[in-house]
Formats: sequence, C-alpha cells, structure tokens
Amino acid sequence: MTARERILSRVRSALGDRPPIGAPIAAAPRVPPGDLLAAFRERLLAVAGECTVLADREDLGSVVATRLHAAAATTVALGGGEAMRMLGQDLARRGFTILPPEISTADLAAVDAGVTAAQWGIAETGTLVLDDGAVRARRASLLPPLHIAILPRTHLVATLDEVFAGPIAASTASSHALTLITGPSRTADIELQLVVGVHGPKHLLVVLV
Amino acid sequence: MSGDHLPMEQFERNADAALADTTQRAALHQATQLFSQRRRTALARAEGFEDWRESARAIKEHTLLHLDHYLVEFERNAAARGTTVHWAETGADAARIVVELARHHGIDRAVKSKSMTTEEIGLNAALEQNSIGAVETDLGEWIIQLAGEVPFHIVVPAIHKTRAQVGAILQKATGVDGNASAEDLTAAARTALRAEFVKAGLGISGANFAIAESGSILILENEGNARLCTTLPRVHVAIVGIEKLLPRVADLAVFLRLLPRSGTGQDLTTYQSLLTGTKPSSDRDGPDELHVVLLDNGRSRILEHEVTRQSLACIRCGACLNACPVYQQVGGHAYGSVYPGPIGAVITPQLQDLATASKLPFASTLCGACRDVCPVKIDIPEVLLHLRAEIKQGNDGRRAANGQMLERWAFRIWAFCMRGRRRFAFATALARTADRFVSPLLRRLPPLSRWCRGRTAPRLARRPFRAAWKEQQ
Repeated sequence: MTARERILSRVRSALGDRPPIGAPIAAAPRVPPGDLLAAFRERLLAVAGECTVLADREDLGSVVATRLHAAAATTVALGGGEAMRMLGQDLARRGFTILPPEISTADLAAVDAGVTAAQWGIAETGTLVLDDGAVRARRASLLPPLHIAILPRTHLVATLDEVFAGPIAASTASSHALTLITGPSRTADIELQLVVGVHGPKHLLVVLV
Repeated sequence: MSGDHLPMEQFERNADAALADTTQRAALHQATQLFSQRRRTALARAEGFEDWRESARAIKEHTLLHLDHYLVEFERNAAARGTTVHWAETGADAARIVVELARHHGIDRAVKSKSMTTEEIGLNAALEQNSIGAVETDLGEWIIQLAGEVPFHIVVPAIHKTRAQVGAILQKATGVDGNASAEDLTAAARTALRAEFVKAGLGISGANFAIAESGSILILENEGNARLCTTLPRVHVAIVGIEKLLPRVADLAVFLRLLPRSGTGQDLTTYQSLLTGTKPSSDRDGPDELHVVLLDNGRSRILEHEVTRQSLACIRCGACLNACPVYQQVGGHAYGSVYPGPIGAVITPQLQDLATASKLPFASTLCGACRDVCPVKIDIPEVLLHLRAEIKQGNDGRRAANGQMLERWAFRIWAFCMRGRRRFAFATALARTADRFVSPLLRRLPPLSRWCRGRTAPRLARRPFRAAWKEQQ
C-alpha cells in the first residue's frame, strides 16, 4: 500500500459509517455596505492605503505621474494588459523609464514603483483582487516600494462572499495565482510596533477610474 | 539552526522558570492584552460574528466528517492543474519529501514563509542535516531562527524579545546599528532577506486552507514574504495538514472574516495568495513547479472520537493563547511544544503521544475563556477533560502511586461527605475547628504548603451560611 492509501484508509476507518455527503453548507452572509465606493475608500484609508477617485479618465496619466513624482520615482515596472500598455506610453512621454512585465527579478529590485491593473475591489474590506491570469502583476505589485493599482469603479463588489462565490471561484478554473491586497505590507514583529513596508510595498495607491 | 523545545514532561518546572522572568512577563502581558483588545474592537464592528462562527464550525464539521472524499477531490483537481500532490504519513516522511525535492532539483538554498506545520515536522533541522540552507523570512520567525530559539506565539513568534534584544540579533546578522528604531531594523531585514529570495531555488510554505473544488491553496500574511516565497523561487512546496481542507472557494469568505479578526484584530490581513497549479506559460510570474505535501502525522487518529475531532477545526488564529490566564503568565516556551497555549494543550498530546505530553492537558484552569473566543467554537475545556480522563485511566501503573492515591482518597471522602446533609454539616464543622486551631500548621505542611507558596488561602467563616440563613427565615 502507498502512503496515500494508508492515510485514506485510516481516515475512513476513523470516521466509520456516515450519512451521505449532502449539499454544501452555505455560510451566513454579511450585510453589504450601502455605498460601495465610500466603504472601499474608508477601509483602504484605515489600513494606511491611499485612494484617488478620478472624475475624468483622461486624468489617469497625470494623477499617476503626480504620485510618482511625490515619491521621487523615475523607473516604473508595468503590469500586463492593454490598459497598462497605454498608460505606460503616456508615462514614458512624461519622462519616466517604463519597464515591461517581462523584466527580470534582479532588475525589478532596483525599480521605484509598480503600476498594475486590479480586477476587482472589495468594499467590505478595501481589498484589491489581482488575477495573474488576466494581469501579469505578481512581481510588479510586490517588489517595488510603491504600488499604484488602477481599478475600474464598476468592478467594486460589496462583500467577500460575493467575490469568492462569483468571480474568484470562476477564475480559479483558469488562473494559477490570485492575490488579494489590503493596504501596504506591514509587520508588528518588533515589540508589537507597527512598521509599514516590510517585504512588500511601503505605499499603496488605488486609483479608481 | 532551529532551537530545541523545553522538555514538555516538565511543564511545572518550565512554568516556574517562566514566572521568574519578569521582562518576558511584561512583554507577554502587553502582547496578550493588546491582541485581546484589538480583537474586541474588531468584533464590535462586525455584526453577525456569532453567525459566522456557527457557519464556519458547520463547514469544518462537514468537511472533517467527509475528509476522505474532499482529500481525493483536492488531489484530483490539483493534479489536473499541474500540482504534484504528495502524501506523508509522518512528519519525518514529509521532511524527506522536501529534502528529496531539493536534491532532485540540485537546490541548496530555500526560503520559508511562516508555517507552524513545518515547525511541527522539524523541517529546518532535516534540511540542515542535508546541507540545504533554509532561511525563515517572516520577520519574527527570522529573529527566532537567528537567536536559535523556537516560536513563542503562533501568530507573533518573537513577542518575548525586546527591541534591544532584537537589535543585537539583527546587528550580528546584517550589521545594522542595534540601537536603531523598529523601522530601521525592519528595513535592514528587508534588504538582507531580499538577497535570500533572489538566490533561493526552493520556496517553502504552509497553507491556511486547501480547496477541494479547485485544488487551490490559500495563504494569509501581512508582510509579503509568503508572496515572495511562492513567486520568486523556481520550485514551491507547501506542507498542508489534511485538516486544512475546505469544500469550495466560496467557503473562504467566512473564514477570512473570522481568522484575522480573531488573531490580530484586523478585518483582513494584508495579503491572501490563492494558488492553483503551475503557470500556464513560461513567460508568467511564478514558480515552474508547485508541490503540495498532504500531512497526516496523527491527524487521522484525532478524527476517530467525536470529542477530539473538533480540535481539527482549528484555524491557528492564536486567540485562545491571548485569552488564556495560564498562557498570559507562562508564555509559549513553557509548554515545550510547537503549539502552545490551550489549543496546544489539546493538539500536542494527540499528535504526539499522551505519555510525553501528559502534563499539558492539566496546564489549564478550565475557565473556558479559550472556548469563548474560538472562531470555530472548539470546546477546548471539553477536549481537555476528555484527555485528562484518558491520561488518568491510562495503563501507566507507576502513576497510580502516592500523589494519585492521595488525590483519589481525598475525592472519595469529599464525595461521601457531600452525599448527606448531616455528613456535610459534620465535615464542615470539623473543617472549621481545624481551620481555627491548627490552620497555620496545616498551611505549612504538604499538600497545602505547596499551594500556599504563591497564594494566600482564605479562612473559613466562623459561622456557616446555613446558620445565618436559618436565623433570617
């Protein structure tokens, strides 16, 4: 017998006779917030994230450029996707050095900022969902000290229940990596003192378009 | 590199030593109070928390009752997406699988994200023996590893160390000024560990949940080191206890609401990585290979009894540690086990053997604070009592001697006295007289003398309550 067979047979004999498996159990849902945009923004700010809501999509390039200037960032690693490619061209015209998603990890280490798309935002927690199947952003959203994420406001969902039962469950069928991000990287491992920016970005800006 | 645990057979002695360490107790007090406070604040904003607990417990119970079904479903779906699924009966088997994997790929450097399961199987020691360097990358775990110790708390491993102590450790490792601020120390660790991430060929992690429906694993964290461990190295291996299974992706929502709130008082930890198989093409970010090691190591035995089965519902949030009056005083090392605190006192004797860990189920006052805070409603006192009974009824003949005989007779006499009104009146009258005339002597003699070492025994009332009550009528 293999280890697999031995473990499974031990589990089966431990559990003995059981009722049939039946339907999956549905969890009690959370009451969704009324104003998704306001809730998302409030939760994100509460975890030291930054949030800008664009009135006009045309402003995207200048808003991102302003934040990059404020961080004295000159090199930018782009996440994948057509919208990012266009934003990259815009930023290049504004004088930034734009690096493609294929950039090596060694090169990425010296980059000032990562600019990526996000698929969904979760209002309940101020969380971004990045699906690597759709957007190549696992490293660009992680290694640089500043991460700017672009999120369409129509992609805000109310609760964790909604996003896990719907779009996330659907994307696990094809995507090898989904990342949920709520604010900048943090630790409290030294005397419980909160320090922002340990292994991941120190700053996170979400631009809602 | 990894430190040794204290002998868990000597819990009392370990506890005495811990109680004498005032620096550690101050740090413990601050940490447990702060986390308990944060948890309460988070819960105050989470209407419906009780319903979520019920749901989570029901989902866990259902999954454990059909664990064989969900394990097979997980394996099938994970394999279909390119994950290699391994099965390990013991901790040693699991460690061997990881060592062989590293050897097969010619890898001699690994990075690890925080995982209690890898602590449980002694993975760092096994890797070290085989000349594979494994660096812990969670800041707290790294500090513990550099100090040659074992974690003190399952969520914040280094809470017992002061900033000065951490400074000295990091100064030796990175050259940073040991008197620097927590922020600068953290920055030095970031730089030093970034180099390790780039060099390592193998990323090692645990998983908080494994999803049968999709063959995915989910990892929660705050620092970003788990993301780095599972993204940069060319091979990623996750050690996953078989009890971590959940049926569906949708089930994650309720657990993600409960776990961070209970552990650190956050609404959600900074990052969740939901990983499913290998990347679809080589130009994508992420490792070339994903391996999942499904670990039994005593878990199937725990499934057998309905009372003990609930201990497998644990999601390792640490809330019971923070709430426990025993843990609050003695801290994590006194238990001498990987899993400390109330849940450790429940899990360790079951994963190991009752004889070695026989003291741990008694390291509790049964006050029930752990049960009240548990996000998956594990009745820890119930399991502790069950284990105590098993230990006392065990076949260990030597233990029946003196202490236990005395205890047994004391309880027999007590039971006899409690069974009749007259007996009770007589016994208490006797106790009152003894308390009045020979009490100072009694308190200096065993067994009372030991109990009185750190406490003052209350005096009995001169007049019984029954007499006063009768007068009032």
